[in-house]
Amino acid sequence: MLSGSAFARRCRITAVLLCALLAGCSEKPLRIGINPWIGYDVIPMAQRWDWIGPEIELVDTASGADSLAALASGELHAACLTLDEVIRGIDAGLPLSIVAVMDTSSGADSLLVRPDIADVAQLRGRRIALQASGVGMLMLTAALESGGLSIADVQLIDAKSGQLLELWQSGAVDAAATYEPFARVLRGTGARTLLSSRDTPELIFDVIAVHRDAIAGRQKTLEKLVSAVLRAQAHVHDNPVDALYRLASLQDKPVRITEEELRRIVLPTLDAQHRYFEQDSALLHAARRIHGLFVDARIIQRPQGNARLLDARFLPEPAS
Amino acid sequence: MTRVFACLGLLLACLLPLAPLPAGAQAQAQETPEPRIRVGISMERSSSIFSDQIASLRVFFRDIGRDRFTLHPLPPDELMQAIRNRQLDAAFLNPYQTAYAQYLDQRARPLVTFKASMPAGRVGGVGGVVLVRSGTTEIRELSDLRGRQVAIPHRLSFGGYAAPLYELHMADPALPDSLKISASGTHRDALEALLAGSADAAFIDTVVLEQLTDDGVVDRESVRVINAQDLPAYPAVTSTRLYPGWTLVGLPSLTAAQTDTMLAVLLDVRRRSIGGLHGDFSLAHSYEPVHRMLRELGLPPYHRTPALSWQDIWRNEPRTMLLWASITFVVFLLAGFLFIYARRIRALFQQEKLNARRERALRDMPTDVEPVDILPFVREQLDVVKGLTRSGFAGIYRVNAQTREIEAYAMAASALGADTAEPLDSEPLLPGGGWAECSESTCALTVNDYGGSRQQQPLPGACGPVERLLLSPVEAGSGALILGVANKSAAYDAQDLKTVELLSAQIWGTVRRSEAEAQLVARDREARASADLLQGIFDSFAGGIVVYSGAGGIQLINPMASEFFGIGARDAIGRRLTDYGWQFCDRDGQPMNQGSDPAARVMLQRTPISNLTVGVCRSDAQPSAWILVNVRPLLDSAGDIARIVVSFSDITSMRKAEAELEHQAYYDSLTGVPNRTLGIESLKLAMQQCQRRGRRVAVAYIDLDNFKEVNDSHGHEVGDMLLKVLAARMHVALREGDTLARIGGDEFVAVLCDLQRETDCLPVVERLLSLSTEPVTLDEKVLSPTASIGISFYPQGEVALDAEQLLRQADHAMYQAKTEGRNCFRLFDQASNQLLENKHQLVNDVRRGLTADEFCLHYQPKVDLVTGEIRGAEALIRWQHPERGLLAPARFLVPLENHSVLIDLGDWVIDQALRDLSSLPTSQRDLAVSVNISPPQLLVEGFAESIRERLAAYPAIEGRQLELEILETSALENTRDVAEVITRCAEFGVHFALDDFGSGYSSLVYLQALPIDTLKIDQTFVRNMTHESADLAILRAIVSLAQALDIRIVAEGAETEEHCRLLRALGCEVAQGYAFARPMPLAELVRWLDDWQPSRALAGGRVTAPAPAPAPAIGAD
Repeated sequence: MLSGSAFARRCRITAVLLCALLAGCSEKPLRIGINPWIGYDVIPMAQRWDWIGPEIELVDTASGADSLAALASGELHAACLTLDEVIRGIDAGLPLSIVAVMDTSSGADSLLVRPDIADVAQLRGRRIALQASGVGMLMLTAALESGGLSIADVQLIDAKSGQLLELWQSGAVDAAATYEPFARVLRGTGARTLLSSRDTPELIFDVIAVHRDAIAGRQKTLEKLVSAVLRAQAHVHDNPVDALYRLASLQDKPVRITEEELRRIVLPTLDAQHRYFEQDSALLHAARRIHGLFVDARIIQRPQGNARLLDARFLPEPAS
Repeated sequence: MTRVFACLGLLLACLLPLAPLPAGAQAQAQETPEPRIRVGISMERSSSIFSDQIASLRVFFRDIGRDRFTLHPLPPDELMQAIRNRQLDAAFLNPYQTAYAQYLDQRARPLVTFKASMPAGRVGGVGGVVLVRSGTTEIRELSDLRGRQVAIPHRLSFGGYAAPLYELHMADPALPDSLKISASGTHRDALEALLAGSADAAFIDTVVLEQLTDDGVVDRESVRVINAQDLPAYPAVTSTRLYPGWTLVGLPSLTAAQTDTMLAVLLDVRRRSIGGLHGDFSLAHSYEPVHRMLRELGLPPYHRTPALSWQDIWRNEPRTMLLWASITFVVFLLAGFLFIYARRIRALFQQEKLNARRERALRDMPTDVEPVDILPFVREQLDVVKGLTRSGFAGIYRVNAQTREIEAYAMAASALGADTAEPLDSEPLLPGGGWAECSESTCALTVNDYGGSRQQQPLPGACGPVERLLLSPVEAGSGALILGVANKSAAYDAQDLKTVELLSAQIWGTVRRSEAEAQLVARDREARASADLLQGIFDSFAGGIVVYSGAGGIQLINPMASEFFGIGARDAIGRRLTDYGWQFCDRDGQPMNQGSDPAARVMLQRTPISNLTVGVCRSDAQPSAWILVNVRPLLDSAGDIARIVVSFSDITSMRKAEAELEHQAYYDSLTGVPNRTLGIESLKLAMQQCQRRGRRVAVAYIDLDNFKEVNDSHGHEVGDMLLKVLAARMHVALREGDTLARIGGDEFVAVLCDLQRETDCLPVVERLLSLSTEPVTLDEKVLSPTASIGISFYPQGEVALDAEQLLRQADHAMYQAKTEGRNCFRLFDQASNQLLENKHQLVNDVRRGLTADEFCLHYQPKVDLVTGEIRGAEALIRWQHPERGLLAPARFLVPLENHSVLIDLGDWVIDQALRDLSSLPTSQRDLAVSVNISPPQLLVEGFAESIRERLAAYPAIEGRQLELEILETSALENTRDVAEVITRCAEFGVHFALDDFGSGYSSLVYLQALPIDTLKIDQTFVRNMTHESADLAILRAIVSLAQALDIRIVAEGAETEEHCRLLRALGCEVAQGYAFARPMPLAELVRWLDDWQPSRALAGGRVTAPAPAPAPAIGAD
C-alpha cells in the first residue's frame, strides 16, 4: 500500500509527465522576431512577468528587414515590424496580417539635415542617407512630398543605421532619414531635425504581423500574445515610473535616454487598439498612404488591397 | 531612505526654523504679517543625522535669503492628523501618505518629487524591499511568507508596508491577510527586529538598505532580499514594482504665490551644488498607481467592506431570523402538499388524456390497408402503441411453438436500437424469458422487474437491455403472435395493458381483413389477366382460329379467320363455313366430300389433323386460296367431343411461289417454251415412247443465222423480241405432241415424235424453216431472219444412243447446213459425225495435256542479215504426246481452229515464253521472244490487261522483249478492235508482228489499219525465191512497201546461203530459218546463243539442229 503522500507524489509525477507529453504533442512555439526598438520592448517585459509562456518564443533580430527575411524563410511565424515593412513584405508575397499595434512614432523617426538646409525644397539634388528598406524611406517620401519633391529629385545613399555617423562626419551626405537612437547620435554632432514623425502623425506604425499560414492552430497562443502585449502597454500607461526602469533595464540604457525615447512614441491603449482595427481606421489610412507613396516611388511593384491586412480576432474585448 | 529624509530635513531646515505644532505654529502665523509656509515632514529616522545635516546646510539657505518656511517634523499618524486638520500648508510625504492626503482633500497637489542621488545613479522611483535573515532557508519567494511574522516601520510606510503588501497581493490575494505584521516604528527598528529574530521578515523602503549598509548599521551579508527585481537601471535593490517617490504636496491652504515660491526654490536646487544634499527635485508624477494599489489592498484611507456572516445577523436580529425561519418552514410545508395534490391531479388528467388518445388512435386507425402497406401500417400502429404506453420499445413477434423460436414480425421504428428495414433472424425461445410464458398461456403478461429478476429473452432485430415488459397475444386464444412493449419509465399498469389489448385487437383485425381482401383481389386479377392474355393471343394470332362446338356450329372465330372467310365474328356463331358457300379441296384440287371440311372429318374420326394442305374455294370453282390446317378435338369429361379447334395459316402465296419456281426450272423465261432441261427430258420421253411403239423420233436443231448481228445492230431488246416471235411461229409449225425447246441463245430444238418414217419429219422441218425465215417487223424495223437446221433420228439401227448424243448429231448436221450456205436443213450422216467425234476427242486430249504439262516451247532465232546479231527468237509450241510422240503444232492446232481451247493453249504459250525468258542466263536476258497469237485470243476481253499483269509478274523482263505475232485470218477483219488492243499493248512496250504475210487473207488494209511493228514474210515466198521468179518480185514489192510504211521485215524460211544473200540484197534485214538454226529446246538455245558468231550470218549461218518438216507455230509457222 502506498502511503497518502507517496500516492500524491506519484499522482503529481504522472500529471507532470502527462503535461510534458501533451506539451510535446502540441504545436511548435510561436516564434516572433523582435528587433531593438523601445516600442517592442514591452514584449520582453511581459515575458519577464511570465505573462507570455513557453508557447511563444522571442527571437532577437538585427532589423525589420532581417525579420522579414526570417518570415519568408519560415524561421519566424510573426514579427514586430513597421507598417511599411509589412506592406513591403506583402508586396514580396508574404501573407501577413497585423494582429496588434505596438506603437506609433511621434518624433522617433526623423529627417536630419545639415544646419544650412532650412526647408524641404532645399533638399533637391542633395545626398540623403537612409536604409532603403527601412522606415526612413517612408519618412523621406512623406517629407519630400510635403515639399513638393519626389524621390527622383534627391540622391539616395543606402546606408545601415550604424554607418550613418561615419557618413555624416565624412561629409558624404547632406541629410539622413533615421530613427532613435541613431537620430540622437547625429543630433549630437550638430544635425538639425528638419522633419520628424511628429509632423506625420499616425503614419509610422509599429505592429505585430503574423504569417497567415502560422495562425491555424495557434489562435489561443496569439490571443495570449496580444493580451500580454496590451497588458504590458497598459502597465507603461498605468505606472510609467516602474515601466521606465524596466524598459531601461531591458535595453541596458540610461533611464534618461529610455525616457526620451518613450516620449517619442505613443503606445496605444486597449480602446485605441480597437479603433485601429475598425474600418476606415487611422492604421488603414496609413497603410493606404504608404502604399500610395511606395507605388509612386516605384518601391513596391504590385498594388495590394487591405482586405486581409488586419486581423482583430486576437484583441481582447474592449473595456466597457 | 534615512539619508533621504536627512537630506530633506536638511534642506527644509535651511529654509525654515523648526517649530513646534500645533499651538506654536498657530501663534506665529498670527504674529507674522507675511505668514510662513508650514511644511510638515514625516519623522521616521534617528534625529542625530538629521540635525548634523541641518547644521551644514543652513548656511547655504541663509545665503539665498529666504526664511519664510517653518518645518514641522511629526510622526506619521500625527502628520496625517495635522493634514486632516488643515494645520499644514505643505508636507513632504511618502507615496502612501501622498495618496492619503489626496484622498482626504482633492486639492492636495503633489508639486515636486525628490529624486535621491546614489553612487549607482539617480533614484527616480521608490518601492519596497522584503528582507529575511540570510540564514533563513525556508523563505525563498513571496509565497513562503504566508503566516510569517513581519516587521515593518509603521502602517503608513510605503516601501515598508504598502508596496510589499501589494506585491504579495499580486502573487496571491490571500497572502497579505495571512501575515502577522508588527510595526517597529522606523526602518532601522524593523531591521533590528528581523536580525534579532523577533520577526521572520522585514519590509523597508528602497535605498534604506543601501544607506544603512553604508552607515555600517547593517551587515549586508546578514540579510537576504526576497523577490529582488532584475532592474539594472535602478540604482538600488527592490522587491516590488516602482512608484513615484517622496513628494512635496501642496495642501489646500497653500496659496498660488507660495506654490510659485516653493517650486522656484526647489526646482532650482538641481542647478546648484549643495553639499550634503544627495538628490534634486523634479515635477511630481501622478500618484494614481498608488491609489490603485491602496484601493486593491483596501488599506486606509480606502476600505474593504468585510463580509456579513450569519452569526452577525443572528447576534443582531434573533427574532427576525426566527420569524423568517418559521415562514420558510410553512411555505415549504404548503409547497409539499401542493406538490402531492398536483401530482394526483396531473395523474387524473393524464389518465383522461390517455383515454382520449387511445380512443383517437382506435378511431383513426384505417379499417383496411393495401397489402403492400400492411407492414408499414403495423409499424406505424406499433409506434402509436409505443407512444400511448410511453414505452421505449414496441414490437410484434412470432412465436413458433414447434421450433421453439421467436422471430420478429414488425417493430416500431427506432425501438431498442432495432433496424426495422433489415430482414431479421430468429432467436431460440427461452423459458423464463416472458415471451414463452405468454405464448403458452395465451394471456397477457406484465413484468415490471424484468431487468433484475428475469432471464432476458434475446429479441431478433432489437438490442438493448429490457427493464420492464408488457406482453399480450395479438389474437385472442392464440399465442402465435405476441405484441410486446418494453421500457416504460414507470411501471406498466392496467391502463397500459388495456391500451395494448385494444389496439392489438384492432390492428390485427385490420390486417386479417386486408389480407383476405387482397387475396380475393389477387385471384380475380390473375383470372382476368389470364383471360386477357388468351384473348390477346386469340386476337393477335397471325393464323386463323375457328372453334366449333360439339354440335358442329362455330363457337368462336378469331379476327384473322373472320377476315379470311369474310364472315362476321358474331354472325358466324352456331353456323358452319359451308353455310357461307365455302368448299374445300385437297392438295391436288379435288373437292372434299360433300359437306365435309377438316372440322367435320375430325368430328367423325375423332383424331387430330396436322399440317394438312387444303384448298379453299367458293362452290365448285378453282381454289382461291390455300391453307395449312391443324384440327384438334377437345373432349369433355365423358369423352365426348366438346369442342373442335381449327387453326390454319394462309399459304396461298407460298403455293404460288412454288409453282413459279417449278415453271422457271423447266421453261425458258423469255419465250415460254421448255428450256434445255425440259427439252432433253421430253426428248428422252419421246425416245422411250417411240421405242415401245416402233416409231421414230426426229430432233431438229435450229440455229438462227446472223442473230448476233441483229443483237449488235438493233440491240438485245429487239433480239429478244425476235426470239419470242420466232419461238411462237415455230411452236405453231409443230404438230401436237411435238416439243419445242430453247436450248441456247439463238438455238432451238424441236422434238418431233411418233414418226412412221424418217421423211415424215420433212414437212414439219420445211414448215419450221419457212416460218423462221418470214420477215418480222419489230419496232418499225423489218428483219429477215434465216435459220439453219440440223436433223438427227432415233433409233439408228443397232447403235445405242442417248439424248445428248442425238442432240450433238443434230448440232453437227446444223453445222453442216451452216457451212453449206445457211438457211437450209441437213440430215446427219455418220461420216461427218466421225470428224466431229475426233475433234471432240482432240479437245479433251489437249486439255488433259495442258494439265499433265505435256506441252513445251522450242525457239528459232532471228538473225540480222547485215550485222549478224541475234534479233530475237520465235517461240514454237510442241506437244510431247504420251502415245503419239512429239507433235508439231499442225497436228493439233489446225483441227481445233476456232475452238476455245486454243485460247487456253495460247495463254500457256505466253506464260511459258515469259518463264523461259526469265530463266535465261543474265548475259542472254536481253533476248526478245515472239509468240504466235490467234486473233480470237487477241479479242478476248481484257487481253491487253492480262499481258500487262503477266509482264508485271516478271520485273526483269521488259515489255519490248515480248513480240506477239498475229496470224492473218478472217478474224482480223475487225481491225478496229485489233488495232485498239495493239495500241494498248504498245503502251507497255509490247511489239506486234503480222505473221505469214502474203499467204492467206493478206490484205493491205491490215498494213494500213493495224499499228504493227514488224511484217513476217511467209516462208513460201523465200523458199521459192530465185533470181527470176515472181516470188522475188513480190518480195521486192513487200520490202519496199514495208520500208515505205516504216515497218520492220523478218523473212521466214531462210534455208540457204543463197536465200540470205538474196534477202540481204532485197534490203530485208532480219531472217529466220534453217540457214541459221532450227527450232530447239530452251537449253539448246542457250548453248547456241553462246556459240553464235555474228560473222557467220554474213556467211549464211549454220544449221545446228536436225531439220524436221517446217513446223507451224500456233496458227501457222
